[in-house]
Amino acid sequence: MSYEENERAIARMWRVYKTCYEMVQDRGYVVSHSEVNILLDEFRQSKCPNGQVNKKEMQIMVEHRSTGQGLLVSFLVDESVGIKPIRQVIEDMMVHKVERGIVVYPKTLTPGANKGLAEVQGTLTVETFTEAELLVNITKHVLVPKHEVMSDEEKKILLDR
Amino acid sequence: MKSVTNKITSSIISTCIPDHLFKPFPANNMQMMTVSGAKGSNVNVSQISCLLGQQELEGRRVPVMVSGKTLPSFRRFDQGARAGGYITGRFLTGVRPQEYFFHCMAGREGLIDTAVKTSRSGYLQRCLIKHLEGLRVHYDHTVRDVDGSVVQFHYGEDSLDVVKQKVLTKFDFCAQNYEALVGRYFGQGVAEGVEEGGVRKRMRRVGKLVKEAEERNERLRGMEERGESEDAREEVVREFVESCERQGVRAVVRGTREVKTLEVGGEERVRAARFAPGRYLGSVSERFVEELDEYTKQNPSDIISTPSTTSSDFKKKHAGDLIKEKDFKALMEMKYMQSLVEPGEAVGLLAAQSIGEPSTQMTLNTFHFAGFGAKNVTLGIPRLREIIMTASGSIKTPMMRLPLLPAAQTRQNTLCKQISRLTLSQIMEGVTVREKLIFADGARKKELVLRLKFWRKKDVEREHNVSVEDLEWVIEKRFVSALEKAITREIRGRVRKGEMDEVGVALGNFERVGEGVAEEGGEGEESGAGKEEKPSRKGKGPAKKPREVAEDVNDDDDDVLGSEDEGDDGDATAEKKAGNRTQRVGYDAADEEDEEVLKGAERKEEDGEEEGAAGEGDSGKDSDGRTREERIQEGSKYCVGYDFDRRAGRWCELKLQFAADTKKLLMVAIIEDVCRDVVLHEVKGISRCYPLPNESENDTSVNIGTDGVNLRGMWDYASLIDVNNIYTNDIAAILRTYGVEAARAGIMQEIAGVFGVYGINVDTRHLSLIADYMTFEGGYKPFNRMGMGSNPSPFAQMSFETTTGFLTNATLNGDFDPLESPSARIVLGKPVKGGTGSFEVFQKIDRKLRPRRRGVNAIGANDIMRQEVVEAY
Repeated sequence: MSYEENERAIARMWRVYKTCYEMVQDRGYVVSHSEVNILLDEFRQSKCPNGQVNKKEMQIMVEHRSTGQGLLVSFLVDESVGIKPIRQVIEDMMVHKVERGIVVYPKTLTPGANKGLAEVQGTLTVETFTEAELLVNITKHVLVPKHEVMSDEEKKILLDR
Repeated sequence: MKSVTNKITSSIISTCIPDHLFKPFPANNMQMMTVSGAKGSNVNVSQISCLLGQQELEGRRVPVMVSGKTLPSFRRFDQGARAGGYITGRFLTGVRPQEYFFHCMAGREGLIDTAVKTSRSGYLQRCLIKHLEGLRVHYDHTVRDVDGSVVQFHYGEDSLDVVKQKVLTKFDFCAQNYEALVGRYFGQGVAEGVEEGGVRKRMRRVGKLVKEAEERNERLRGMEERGESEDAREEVVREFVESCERQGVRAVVRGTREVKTLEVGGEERVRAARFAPGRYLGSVSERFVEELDEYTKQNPSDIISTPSTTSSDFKKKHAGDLIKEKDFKALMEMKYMQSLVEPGEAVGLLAAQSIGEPSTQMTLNTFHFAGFGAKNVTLGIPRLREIIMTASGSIKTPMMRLPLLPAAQTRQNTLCKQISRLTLSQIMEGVTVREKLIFADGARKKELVLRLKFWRKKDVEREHNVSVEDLEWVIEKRFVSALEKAITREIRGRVRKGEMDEVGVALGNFERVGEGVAEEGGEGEESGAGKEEKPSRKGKGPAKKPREVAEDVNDDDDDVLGSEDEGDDGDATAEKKAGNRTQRVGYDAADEEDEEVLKGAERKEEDGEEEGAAGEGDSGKDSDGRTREERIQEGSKYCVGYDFDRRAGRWCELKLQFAADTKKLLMVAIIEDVCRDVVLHEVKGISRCYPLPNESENDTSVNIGTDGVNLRGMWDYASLIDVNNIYTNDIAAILRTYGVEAARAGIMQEIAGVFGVYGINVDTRHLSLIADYMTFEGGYKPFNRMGMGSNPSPFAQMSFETTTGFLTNATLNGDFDPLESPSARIVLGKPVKGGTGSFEVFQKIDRKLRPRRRGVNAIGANDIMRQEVVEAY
């Protein structure tokens, strides 16, 4: 990988990383100011130890503001993700005792990985995104209205009407 | 040419009319007629007294015949304005015979156009109406379909009636007619049952909290900077949340761990969210509040008493007293309430007609070429059909508008080049092919030497940002294998049948002749290079035309059919299709079209194959240590030699060998085709990229436009492009990338845009209802048979199209019809449940009045008898 390509890869992962933080923040998880507004140079320092992106380092662990539930965001390395990394993610979630997870993978999930995810879907809630999907935070687009998660109370008011 | 003549025409007209008429305006009876608006327009006047001007057919000047003339009376290839259909004559003094003929041609086209157009827009309207007929406003201000599914919570987002709201925001008028309006709205008994219900009080409270939240946010930020303790900051947050709780307002805490931001729940700030607008005075739309506040603040006619207006100001202008601001606001709120859409209103039908009617006015003109390099998009009814009727996933002219970030605005052109697709043919100057017979390896062989000539390295680098190394890489990896494929296919003689049959024969011959010369010209490089471009172009030109025309004429069917094919099960037999077709004849006939579609699909499939195979060819021959020439020879069946001008990048030579008995190959043509397909760089899906001119002068943004859509592909350029403001006309693409709400906004914008071109303004309430209907199921629902599938009423489905199809389905699934939809009720002769039919009357019947007949007694077991409105009267 040439220097230029590597730089591009770092910038790319930086954007994905930021979008992830914005996403969990919008969902009501507590994040710190420096994490959401991380600069490219900071990112390079903390997550790219030897000049290359270390996706293991990027793992994000957050807690929900009101319920206190945890959420684990994992970044996978393989272009085509098999069952093994998925098992690892699930294990990580068990270790951290969280029920919600987000998996960000580079290109594709193999059928095996999909199956592995489907198996745990009842006990854990795992969402998957490709890196390309998170390059840009789509909720910031002009045509997209602001989304808010409805609280139970609000749901009740709406349905009672 | 057209632009020149048009300028002359309009300058002639503007000089003559109205100042230089023989009889000027008041004395001129013709002018009297048009100026007063009784009949006729300026067009008629200018045609009578100035000139007819340029006649157009299909948006172009009059076409030439095979002879090179437009009419026998002109000279061949006459470039004059007259020969091209420019009429200098006028009706008053008469026109020349040729001009008369041209005028008739254009006139007939207009007639045909109208004839075709009426059926199109008629069908469009029918589709809209059949889908939207059941939508009506309910008592809770929601717009629901017959099955009760909510399409909009407030009709048009503010629950106002389209007709009544026209005068609602004419505040000045209302203020001037204050007395009369008060009498009307607060007269005896009118305002009865209207509650204030504490709307204002609550909104004041919410307003205060919103302000407080802002203050506290400011304070929190300050505390963070000063590094105050977390507890102190937490205290600020807690206070706010508690005060909100006390007042029954929902508070929201956002922000990051260090800097929390406070907000009042979004729904608290919207009046209509908590208070039904029809019941509580003052529950009006937020925009209305703003506009009203703005008016009372401005107070343009000095009618409303504010601290700044003195009664002397007022006395000068008006009789009577100043109006108190509070009273005026109450009046306007009352007027708002009176302007609400009435429950039972069939808003779906209104929306359908509001789209359908203006679409009949649109001329069926898709040929809007606004010069080269500018955008060229489908317009008018075809575009409307694309958006509404087919909800097409692949539209005809997809485009994107990419606003550049300030930092990148100077790099507009470079960026355009980067994004545009660049094919090998674009950087090639020419190609020569030399063929000779040789003896090698104990056999006679044909040897072909191909020499590709490129433009100068300097130019290529500057214009397209492609280096010589890139070029060589592309030739090795893509060009050779693609060429190989093409040759193999040619040898095997797998000529596509369809194309040959349809357009081939005669033209094919022509092509061959040209090519033959190019090849046989053998040693003479010049002759080959010179000719390579021409023949195939000529061959392609006319070959393309009939296909395009056919598509335009029948494009109607193609949509419907296309979607049908998707919907049908795998075993959609020809029989079934034939059945469908006979049923459809009434609405949209023409069978050639589906062949066209099928052919298109086949073509696509083949393309796909090619690509896949080429990709495979690519991989596997990339081990190091061998020269490029060796690698190429190894990976190729025919290639025996390769050479490249590494220094200047001007040429590339390939040596191919074939068995002597191989049939004659039209090498130049093959190479041409291959070069057009070999891509140096591209963003997938985007064919062209160009700077967009700004629409208005005070718009300082810099935009670039693209043909083709790839939203995600653009995200890679996020450092240059303002990715949050990308716009595209491909609604399906918006749906895929940005979600359904964005798609809804896109639909509204696109429909408004289609009408906007013709200067027609459709109320946003109609547009929003249509957009909401199309998206309320979470997808992009078309107004056609497919979309009808989700209609809950089998009768409504059946009365739309393909009756037997829907009937069979309903029967197989055991569907039932609750007889709620208008169609179903009409089928059974019942009154439709819209307007005054949307309610029924329960009447308490006095025992004494109850008829004594036994049969009725049985019903009247309880004292309430149900009667429909009709019977009650």
